Amino acid sequence: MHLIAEVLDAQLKDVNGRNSGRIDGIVLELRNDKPPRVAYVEISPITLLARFSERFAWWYATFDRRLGPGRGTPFRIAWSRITRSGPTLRMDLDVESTSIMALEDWLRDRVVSHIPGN
Amino acid sequence: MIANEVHVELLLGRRVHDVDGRAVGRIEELHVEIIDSESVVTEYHLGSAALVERMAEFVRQLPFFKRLPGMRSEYRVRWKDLDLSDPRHPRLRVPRSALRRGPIEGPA
Amino acid sequence: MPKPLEITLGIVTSVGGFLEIGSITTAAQAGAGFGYQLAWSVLLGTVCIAFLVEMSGRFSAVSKHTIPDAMRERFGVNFFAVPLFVMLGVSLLVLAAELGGVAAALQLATGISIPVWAVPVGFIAWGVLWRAPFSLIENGVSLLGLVTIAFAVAAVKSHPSYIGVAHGLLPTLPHRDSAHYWFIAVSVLGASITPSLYYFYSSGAIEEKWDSSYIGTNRAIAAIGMGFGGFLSLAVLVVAAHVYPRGSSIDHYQQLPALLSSLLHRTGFWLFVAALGIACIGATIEIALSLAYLVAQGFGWNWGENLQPHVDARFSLTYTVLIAIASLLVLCGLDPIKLTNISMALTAASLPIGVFPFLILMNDSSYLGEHTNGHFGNAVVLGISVIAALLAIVSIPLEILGG
Repeated sequence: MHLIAEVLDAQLKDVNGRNSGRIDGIVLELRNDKPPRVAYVEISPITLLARFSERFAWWYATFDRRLGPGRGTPFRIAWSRITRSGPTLRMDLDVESTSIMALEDWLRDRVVSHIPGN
Repeated sequence: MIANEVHVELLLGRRVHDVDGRAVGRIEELHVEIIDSESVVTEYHLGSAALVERMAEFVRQLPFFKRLPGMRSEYRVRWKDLDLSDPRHPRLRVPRSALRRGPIEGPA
Repeated sequence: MPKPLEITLGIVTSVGGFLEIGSITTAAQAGAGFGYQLAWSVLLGTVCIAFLVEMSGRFSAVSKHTIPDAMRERFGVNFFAVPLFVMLGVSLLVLAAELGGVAAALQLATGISIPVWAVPVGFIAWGVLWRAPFSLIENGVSLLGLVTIAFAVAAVKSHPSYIGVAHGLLPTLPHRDSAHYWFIAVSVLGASITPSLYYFYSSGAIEEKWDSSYIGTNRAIAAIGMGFGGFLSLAVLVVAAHVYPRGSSIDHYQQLPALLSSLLHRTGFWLFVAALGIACIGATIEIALSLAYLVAQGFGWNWGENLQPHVDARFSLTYTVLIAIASLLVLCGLDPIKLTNISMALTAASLPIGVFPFLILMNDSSYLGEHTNGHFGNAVVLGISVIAALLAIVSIPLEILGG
């Protein structure tokens, strides 16, 4: 498997087939005398922004903390919970049980729900 | 958070130097295999040709591909030959001349 | 729906949805300034967009990816950010020009000035996106847009020299005003080859759940629909060549109704107002949706015009914000004609940034299997995009320097 071509920036779906963002980052565990292990993937605007600028990532993390408890750090999921289904990557979780949709939920609750016809 | 971790997306595009300080190429791809039920990195692909391989595989099929500038530049580096203790400045543990061009058979 | 009916509907909506303020204004300027001499730029633009629309439909039907989705996946976010921001910037100007076009039509009809209409028009466009399903947006407004066939009627009534028009389809060098000639040519190309159109088409193919069995349908819609649409653009050029004194320039939208009123009299005036208003509201809705698709698909959000806004809040708020910004630009009093000229020229200049990565994807068998591009299609699209961009880079500064 080619990690960058096939995993990084790929679309992630949850156990119900719902879009759950993209793989913004991949975390390797470095070990003595053993090859690096693919440990986690990250789905987060903080991780995405860090690829451009650490300052942008820091600013976003500051805003992200306001979205709820435990926010302000990238969401990680263990690589063992990811499977490949054709070109799509799936996690064995319901996206609603994660913090991936925190911004979407916040916008829905604070903005969209107040607009008629939503 | 794990004790000794490295972010792949921040390694991408990093220039690698060998033990003699000579530039070898940029990290463009990581090859992963499943060994003992774990997904592990077995080799790193460096150089312009590796970038093209990742983005536009069909270009490599063109008859004049190898004549394009930089397209002969591709190194496959075994996992043990790359020191990632400083992820911003990855270094080879061997000289560039010890590297092989083209695919390496089997895991290291 | 049976395939023949789908093809017919697709062609009809392509024709009805082809003209908008960019193609109307630039074709009129071409005809007014240079007679039939710039007909080749309409032909070139039409051929290129027909190829691009066919490619984008084929890509989505076979790969089940949209173009932005595949661009992020294949090239990574660091590269994807370039076409993302360029398209957002340029297309936002086009969006404002279209919204301004609707406001201009209302100003012509009522006498009430353009800035007053900026917010109501933006609200109507937003309301359609907020409430209507995709099929109504794609088909409804475009069917109404068939009123633009009035330009074809006017072109026939102008008794053009068909041999002269045929000569104009071959590129020639200008006899005078070289900088202006090439600038208008570039603007016509930019008006025809709008990335938001084929990006929208790609997303539409996914919204309508196309698969490989739609390849033939897609080809027919792209070729015939875009072809007839280009014919309407050519009709505007032919009418303008007849109506306006040779060498004149169109600097104010109040000059445009003469395209139809001079040949169809009072009925022509109202037909023009209806054509401009409907064509531009359709384009406003389509561009806003296209940009929302681009952002949502690039970042992996939930998206879909058939979803309720509360299900895809980020997607819905993206087009809301874009329409608000475009309304603000029109509210500030930016002239629709100037905005159109600038945005069309910038579209042409930035074409390679959107087209090159798309062509790479169209040659990638991991997405398209056996349905990758042939050499001819690659050559046509690549060639026209490069020519358009080079002409834009040269002619825009000359036009600015020439005042």
